[in-house]
Amino acid sequence: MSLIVKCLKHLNIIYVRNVQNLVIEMLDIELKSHHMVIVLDSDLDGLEMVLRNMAELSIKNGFRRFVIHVISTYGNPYYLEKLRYLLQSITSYTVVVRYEGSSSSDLLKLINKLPSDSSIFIRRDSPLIDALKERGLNIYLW
Amino acid sequence: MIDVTSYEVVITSDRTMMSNHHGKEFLGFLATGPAVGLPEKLWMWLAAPKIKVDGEGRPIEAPYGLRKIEAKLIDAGFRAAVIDPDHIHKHLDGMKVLMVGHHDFFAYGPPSNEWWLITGEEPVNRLSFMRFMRSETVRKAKAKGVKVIAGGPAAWQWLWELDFWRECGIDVVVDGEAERVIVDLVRKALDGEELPNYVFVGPADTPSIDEIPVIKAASVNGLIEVMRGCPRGCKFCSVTLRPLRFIPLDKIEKEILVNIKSGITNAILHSEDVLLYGGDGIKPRPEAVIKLHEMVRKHVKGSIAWSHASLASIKYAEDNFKLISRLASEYLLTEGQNFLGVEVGIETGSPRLAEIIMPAKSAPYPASMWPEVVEDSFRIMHENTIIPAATLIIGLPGENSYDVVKTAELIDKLRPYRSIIVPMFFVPMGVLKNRDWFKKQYLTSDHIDLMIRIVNHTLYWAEDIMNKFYLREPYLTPLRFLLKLFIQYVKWRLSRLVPVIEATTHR
Ligand code: SF4
Repeated sequence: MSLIVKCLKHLNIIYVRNVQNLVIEMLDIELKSHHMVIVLDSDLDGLEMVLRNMAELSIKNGFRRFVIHVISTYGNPYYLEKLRYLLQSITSYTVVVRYEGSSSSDLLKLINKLPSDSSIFIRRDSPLIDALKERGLNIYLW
Repeated sequence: MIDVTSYEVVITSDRTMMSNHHGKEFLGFLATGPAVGLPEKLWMWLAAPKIKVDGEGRPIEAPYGLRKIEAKLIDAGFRAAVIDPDHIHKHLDGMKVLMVGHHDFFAYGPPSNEWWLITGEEPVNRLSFMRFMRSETVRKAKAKGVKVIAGGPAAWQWLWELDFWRECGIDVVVDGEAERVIVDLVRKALDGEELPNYVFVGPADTPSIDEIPVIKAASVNGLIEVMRGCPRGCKFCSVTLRPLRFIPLDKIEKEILVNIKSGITNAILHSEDVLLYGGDGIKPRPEAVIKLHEMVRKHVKGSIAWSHASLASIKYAEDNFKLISRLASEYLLTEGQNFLGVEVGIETGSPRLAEIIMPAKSAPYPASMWPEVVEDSFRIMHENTIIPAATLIIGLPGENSYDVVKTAELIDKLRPYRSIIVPMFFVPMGVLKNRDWFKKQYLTSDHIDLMIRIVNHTLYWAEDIMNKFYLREPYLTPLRFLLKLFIQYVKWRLSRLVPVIEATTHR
């Protein structure tokens, strides 16, 4: 990647607080997106919750783009089976989906890279909730 | 000397897409069905013969969507080219990104899924695409680390084929108008960066007119886009969510000239409703449509076709401005052309259902007038030698037997008008794997009755169309003969199939 392109990308950093390596790894449209994490170890019962969150953020903050980071034991690309109804329900926003691994350490590594206003969707019985709360993230439980 | 290893980005598809269908776009529909009553090879030759290529394997004509991606990447400075699927091995050494596009990768879209459900056999487009992806060349490409990007209007189908996704090593699937994201995505792929798995391009990222490139090489059968989006807002349609954009005349002209330079003497004007080009909301504006046709006819000496038009626009344009007869007599039915083909959507004959699911499809007429709008516009088309291929959707959400009966009544009223009517099923995904459910729970005897009327209508007019208009060129005689044979075969099969289906459907 040329130096100029890199510099231009760093100008976009106002959209992504915290980390620069995230900027380099992402598409331009992702830089202007709201980031969501879905921890997917069963069927996605929180589908409505995710859609509601998107709608709220779109109305309140004008977001029209979302990046969905998925942590899932189903593996890549099989986790998409659990997401497909969500993806087919979304028509009004740009959505980018990334697989980020399957373990709790993958999750913790991921949230360290993400902006602090990211939304996290996770089952209410997950043992990771306390660790996530400590970081002041927007947690949605299903 | 030509360096055949010079393309870092190879854009392609399988044979059912990479064909000009003998110069007859409509024959491409055969590729959406299984090889009924014929060996698959012969069926493939009928539907999708091989296309001419240059020394590097670049097809003389290629699907328009692939041409747009090619143009966008070339404009951005990449060494990218559309390559025929039989020739991508020539580029294996230099290739770093392989892009595959399709209208219907796995035959989940209409009308492939209808064929599949009724016959129980996989359509050839699905078989051909999967065979291509399993070919030695694609496997070798993947093994040497080539990134694979899939996209096009059927991108969503990959979500239902995850085993195959994994088998093919797909890196990313892009769903939606890709111009704004594709350059960035390919750059990241070439730089070896981590790619997302799925990108859905929403309305906020639909490209502006300036971001839509002019194609660099010819499109299949001279298809060129004149507008994107549709203002009618039907509930079952995703096109309508995207903003309406009219491609300026000078850009359209440039693309026509690209096609002509490659020896393509015909043009298909692509739009969801050609008559709304430069229109005033849902009302056609004659000046804009006439200017468009004037410019196209100035260059195109062969035939001009419309990809789609709305029935309401046809009626409104003729009733208020005599626009259809004027276009037909002054620009369309000239020396090189004796009919005009177009795809139109009836969807239902029930005003009740139309009001619920497609309230603006009949606009500026009220939805309560929908059957009248359909009939009037069919009459107008018939009088002007415009031959529509009309779609009709069975099983729309909220449909009841009253709606099906109203649709059947409308089909009877359309009998005097030359047309092909194609039924489509509104079915949930997963149904393809459960055909018994489909026949027992989904199809009612009213549906069967409706389908028989539709098939009879279509077979009746198909023979007439072939006798008077289609495939008249001497070199297409064998094709015509085979298709006539096929029509007879369908009639024969149908006479045996109907009692069986009736016995297995619920009332
Ligand atoms: S008229 Fe056709 S393209 Fe337009 S919204 Fe309705 S179905 Fe879609």
